[in-house]
Parts: sequence; structure tokens; C-alpha cells
Amino acid sequence: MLWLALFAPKLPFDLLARQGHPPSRPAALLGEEKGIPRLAEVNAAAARRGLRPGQSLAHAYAVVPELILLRKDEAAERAAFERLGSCALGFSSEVRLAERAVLLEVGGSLRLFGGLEALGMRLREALEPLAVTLREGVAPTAEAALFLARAGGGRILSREELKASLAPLRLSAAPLPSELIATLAALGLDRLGRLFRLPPASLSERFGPALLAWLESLLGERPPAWPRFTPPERFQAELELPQPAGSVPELRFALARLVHELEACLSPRRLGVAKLRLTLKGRRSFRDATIALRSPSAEAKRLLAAAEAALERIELSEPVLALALESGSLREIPPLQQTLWGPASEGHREKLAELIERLEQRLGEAALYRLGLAEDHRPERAFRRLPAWPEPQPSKAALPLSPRPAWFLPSPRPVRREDYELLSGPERIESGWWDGEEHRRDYYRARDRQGRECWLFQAAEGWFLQGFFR
Amino acid sequence: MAALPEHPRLWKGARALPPGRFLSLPLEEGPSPLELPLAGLSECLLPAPGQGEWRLLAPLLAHWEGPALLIAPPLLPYPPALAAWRLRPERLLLIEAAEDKTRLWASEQALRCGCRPLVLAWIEKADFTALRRLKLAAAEGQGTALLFRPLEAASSPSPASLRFCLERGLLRLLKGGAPAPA
Repeated sequence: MLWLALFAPKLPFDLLARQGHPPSRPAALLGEEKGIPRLAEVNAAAARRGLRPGQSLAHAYAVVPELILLRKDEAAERAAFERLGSCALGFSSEVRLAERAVLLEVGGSLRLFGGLEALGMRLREALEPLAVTLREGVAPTAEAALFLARAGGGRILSREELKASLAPLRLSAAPLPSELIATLAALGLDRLGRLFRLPPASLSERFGPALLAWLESLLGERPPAWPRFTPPERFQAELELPQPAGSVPELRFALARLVHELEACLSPRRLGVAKLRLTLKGRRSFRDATIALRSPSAEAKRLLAAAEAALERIELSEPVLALALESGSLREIPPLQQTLWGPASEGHREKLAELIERLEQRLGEAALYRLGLAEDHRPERAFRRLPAWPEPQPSKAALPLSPRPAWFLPSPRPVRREDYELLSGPERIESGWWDGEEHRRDYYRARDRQGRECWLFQAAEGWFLQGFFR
Repeated sequence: MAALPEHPRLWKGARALPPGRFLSLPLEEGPSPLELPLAGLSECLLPAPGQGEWRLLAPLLAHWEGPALLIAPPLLPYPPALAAWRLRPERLLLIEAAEDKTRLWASEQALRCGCRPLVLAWIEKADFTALRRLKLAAAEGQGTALLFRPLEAASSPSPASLRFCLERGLLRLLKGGAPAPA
């Protein structure tokens, strides 16, 4: 077993940047100490201005009046980690979510990805659109990997070295209650090695069961305490805008972010979506639009084109405060189909599918179609309408013996016989009561006054034009 | 014909036309006399449908291997007739669009999509700038466009590389086309 832990040291500020706030603005996370509100964490811009965790709010505002003060947003943090976890599942079949960290068992995937370095690179690349700063730790146990990641990053590759490598590290990075860590430090137990030397029974007795359980997990004597992650059945993400948006172009940035997050969550698992709902939330109401794709996809470029088209159709009635993207069920992306088209034209085929999608989004699905043959002797029924995509299989039908016009009028147009010169015919086409519409028509090839060769017929009601031959 | 899209012009066996002269189109089985610029814009001006455009289109489509789009055709291409010419009717993608603006938009999207399509579009009114956009889209997206437009369009200038009238089965070259054979 080999575990890779990814710890997010700056999560609240990453979430702030995700909304589009520039990282150059000082921000701090609000916490409290003995009931008094204090800064719990500060971003780099705030630190440059002299702010530190533990300082009071009054002091902070006196030094940096424009400070953005954040409250811990549990729901947003959990959602961010569900996204990280979803992406990580493309690299490992066992993913666990810890506090502010994702844990992946990578021992089983090393061969597939060509080693730890290659896997790490691919993983970082896949996680990048999620825009969370991550620190890595690698170790034979999940808890040790997490500890290393929290302690600033590090690698322990063999089980034999685990205890010895952990021993000199400071306990302060442990995911344990801060009061406990302070108590231990006061007793001189500030490094892991000192704890390792104490008898387990006395540890449990003096400091409670949590510490012992953690040490046992750390050394692999107990399975990881963190729950195994099962990814959500749909993709769902919401983004609050940095300021209310009054027009569609202002929403583009947020939309692109959500779509890229979707790609990051789904494409490593080779999943895609065929339906998406985009919701624009205002103070009093919301507007939404459904985005339908011809085939499931997680490709940001394609989804974004579809989503932007959907966005254009929405009329804003009030400023938008937040944007939400929600998918239909997740579908596996089928391997490339190479039956109808050669592998060389697969790229063209995909592009055609994208084009059809784009045209349908603006013109409506009914505006695009194909025509195929149908086995019927009646001219109006000798063809049928087929969907534009996927390209249908060739249709077959017995062809009429006499020529048919290239241009066809589905609704015959009444004409005057004297405007036409009959060239050949008649060909009698009848249909009876068994067809539901009883008629008898005599078809002629004829020339009109413009010199065009036409398909005419004479019926009980008179003469009709039904097509042009050339 | 596998290497077709790489050729600068279609129909290698085509006969050349001197500009301004009339030429009867061949029967539907024979090769077309026209050379259609690939990745370019061509215009066919005609008074109404049924002038003989299928004598052009049938051989053109028979040689075309990529996607073929018909944008706003005036009537339905009739599958039994296409099948009799050994064309697979379901290969044609038909697109309905009521306004010229939408037709131009759809044509440009198709030309730029990267699937190297043949775009046949019926467009009534389009100014020089709109046509220029299409020509650019064709060149950049490696798509081939043939527009069908009313005869009146002949009086306004066009950036099309090939422009001809089609009336009563007669073709009159207005612009472009290959030089006369030696």
C-alpha cells in the first residue's frame, strides 16, 4: 500500500479566488478563541500587511480597513473536496476524504501510470482546474501521508522506514484537537518519536483514546479512520459571483469555471454528461436553461459552447448573484466508434457532431434532419425524416421503375394544365381505402413555360405539380 | 478519390470554361463541367429551383466524401431520385432556417467546424461583407461553399471565386472558372 495525501492549506482563500476575487486583496478567516472573535487564518496579501492568525478583529481592521473577512463555509469546503475526490477517483479506486485533504491509495495504480512521478504529474494536471492549492505527502499509511502533507510535504516510501522517518517530526501538524497538542507539548511530548517511546496503555489512560487511535493508524496498526469516498451521482456546482451581474457577458467567467470543474471531475473517470441545467440565481427569482448534447461528453470546450448558447437564450430580469450547474445522470463515454467512419475521419465525425449540436441549440432540434428511403409506392410516403445525429444506417427500398424528381413538393401545388407541355406518361399511382387515403393519380413528366421539367399529376380534383426533375 | 480534399480544385477531369460563354450541363451520369474551388466560395445564380441544379449537385455529391449540408433548400431533395443516382440520401444533412441572417450564420458555423464539409446554402440577400465572411470561413475552416442565389444578385459584387448563372439547364460563367483548354 502506498498513500498519497493532498492537503489544502489555503482552502478558504482558494474558494474566495474561485469566485473571481483577486488574490491580491487581503483576506482572513474568522475564528474565535475563548468566545472572542479572532483571525484564524490569513492569506498572503494580508500577511504582507502584517496580519497574523490570533490577532483581534479590531486590530486587523485598524491595520487593513479593506480586509475581506471570511466565515468558515462548511458546505463550500465539502463541495470542493467532493470535486477533488471525484477527480482523484480517476487515479485510484480507493479515495478517502479527510479534513481538508484527499487521500488516495496509489500503490495499485503505479504500474498503470508508469510510476509515482508520472502519476503525480497527471494527477496535478487533472486537479489544476479545481484551483485548490495542494500540498502532497506520500507514505505507506494514509494517516502518515496526511501527516506529512500537513507538516509541509514529504515522502516516506517504505514501511520499514516509516517509524524512524516520522520520529523527528513535530506533533503540531497532527489532525488532533489543538488543546491536546498544547497539553502534550507542555509535557515535552512535541515530537512523534517521544510519543512512540511511551507505552500505549499509559497514552490512552493519560490522554484519551483519540491519541492512541491516531498513532495506531499512523503506523498502520489500524485501518484509516477517514471514510471511503463515494462520488455523487450527478455533477453539481454553484458559484457565487464577486458582484451581482447585470448582463450575460459578465457571467462568462463564472460559467467557464463551472464547466472546467465539471471536466476535471468527470473526464479522469471517463464519464460524461448529455444533459445539464444552468441556473442563474437572483435575489428574488431564478432563471434556468437546459443544455442537451447529442452524446455524453465532459469536454469543457464542447460543453462551454453549448452552455454559452444556452446562456444567450436566457433573459435576465434582475441581477444575477450566483450561477449553478447541475448535470443529468453520469454516463460512460463510449470508446471511439470506428465502424461507420474510418479512424482517420473520427476527428471529423466528432467535429460534425459538435456542429450539429451548436446548430440545434440555436435553430431547434426539429430544424436539422436527414431523409431516408421508405418502402412505399405512394410518393409522399416513399421517404421518411431521420434524426440528424447519429448518422443513420443506409436505408433500402425498392426503387420505382420510372424516374422520380430530384426536388419534391410534399404538398402538391394546384396548377393549370395549359401551362405545361406533357412529355411522357401517365404512370398511374393508386392507393385505396386500406391506406386510409383513397386516391388515384396519373403522373406525367411535363415542361413548364420556364423550360423546367416537372412532375405533374392529374387527380379527380384537377392538376397538381409535385416536383422538378433537375 | 481518397486524397480529394487536399486538391486545390475538385474534379480533375473537368473541362474548362471560358468566362461569359454558355455551356449545356451534362446528363446526370456524366462528370460536371465545373471546377468548384475547394475551401472556397462559389455562387450559382438562378431564377427558381429546377433549373438543372441537380445535374451539378448529383455528380458533385457522388464525388464528395465528407459531410454535405443543405442549408434552407427551397424544396425537398427526394430520396428515391437520389438513390437512383446511387447517392445515399441519408448522407445529406438538411437544415431549415427561415432568415438569410440565420442561413449565413449556419453556413459559417459549418464551414468553420473543422469537419471539411460541403455547404450548399440557399441565400437570397447577402451583402459583400457577409459573403466575404463566408469566403474567409471557407478558407480558414477548409470547408467548401456553394451558394444558390437569385439572378438579381448578379448586379451586386461578390467575393466568390466562382460565379455562374443557371437557367433552363444552361450555365453562364460570370467569374472564375478554369482557363480555356489549349
